[in-house]
Amino acid sequence: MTKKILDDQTDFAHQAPLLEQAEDQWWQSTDKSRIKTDQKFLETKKGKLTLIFGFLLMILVAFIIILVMIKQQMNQGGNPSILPQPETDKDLTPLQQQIKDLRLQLETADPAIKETPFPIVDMEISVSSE
Amino acid sequence: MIQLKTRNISLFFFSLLAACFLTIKVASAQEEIKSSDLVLQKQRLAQEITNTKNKLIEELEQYSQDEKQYGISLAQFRKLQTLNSIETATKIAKKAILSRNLVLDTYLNLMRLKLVEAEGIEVVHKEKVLNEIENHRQALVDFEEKVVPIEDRDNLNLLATQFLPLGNEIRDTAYYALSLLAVGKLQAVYDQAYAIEQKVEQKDVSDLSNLEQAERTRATAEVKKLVTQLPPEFEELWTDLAAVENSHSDYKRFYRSVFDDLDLIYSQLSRLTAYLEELEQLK
Repeated sequence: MTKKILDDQTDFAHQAPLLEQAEDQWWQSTDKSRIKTDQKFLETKKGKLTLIFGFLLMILVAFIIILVMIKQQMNQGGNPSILPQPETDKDLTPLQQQIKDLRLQLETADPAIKETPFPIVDMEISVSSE
Repeated sequence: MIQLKTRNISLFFFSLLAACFLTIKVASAQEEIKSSDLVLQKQRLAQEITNTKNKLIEELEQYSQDEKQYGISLAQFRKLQTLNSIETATKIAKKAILSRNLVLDTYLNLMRLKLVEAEGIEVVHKEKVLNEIENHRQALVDFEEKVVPIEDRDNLNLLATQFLPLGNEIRDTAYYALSLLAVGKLQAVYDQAYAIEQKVEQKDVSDLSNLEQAERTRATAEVKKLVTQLPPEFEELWTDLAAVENSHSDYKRFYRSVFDDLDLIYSQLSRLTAYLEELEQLK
């Protein structure tokens, strides 16, 4: 009895339209599912990659902003361990500032300003009777 | 599979970012350390020079008192010729010798610091004079060790005769250092002026009118003329100094005679600086 029913079913399969069979074969060859799902964008591969790259880009931007802020802070506040540099006139160009420094250097190099002279000491200290 | 891939990609990017961050941080830290080290080193040196100068003044005062006492005790010994006066004179002479040692050592150290700080002196000269200074300072230490245990007049007199050549050598080295410092100071100014003149010459003046450009060309030619005049004068000074160095002749005489040349060079440098100021509208 069971055997009879199975044979009937096989026969029925053979009677199915050819077009539907071809469609099945096409779906199998593409290796994709014909069943539609309710997947969200972020759950897809593309979505995940976009999310990661976006996140990385955000970190990079934040990193650059922090670096710029640190640099600005250093320029403004300066490092307390470093002594104040010679005064610079903000209205002067770098070249003008260099010439101004040259003038100062020249003034200190005046030959009239002598170095500490050799001390006058007695090189012959002894207890001689003459 | 996809999850594993995305995790690998994100891990790779994170490590890349971390490496970038570390490299930037280390590079900037190294640069910062370099520049701050240089500033601190210069500051420490300047402070050390001031301290050494103050120390020298104090030691000179002490030496002056000891030398005065020595003079009095020696005169008494020569007049009285007593055993007590010999004993007193020997003790006071020993004290004066030791305080003279301190003065000479501190002075040599001051010269050493100034030479280290100085710019415009060729390394060959600098190293030579620094070596001499170090040797003399060591000789002073050795001499002091010999003086300390001495109590009798004869041994003290023997040491006094031994000291004489060392004292003369120290004086020579001191004048050698003073000569180098005097010439080096102006050489440093010239080097700086030369660098500025190069910048002035290369400056873009295309925004000036033809008339102004021609005027500037004539002015820079004058500056150039002055800049090229100075090197032979410096060369001559350095050659003279090298000759004194090689012949081991009198540095003191060289130091005293060099100031006429230095005054001339100084006035030329002063004119050069004034030209540069005028060219760059600093006046």
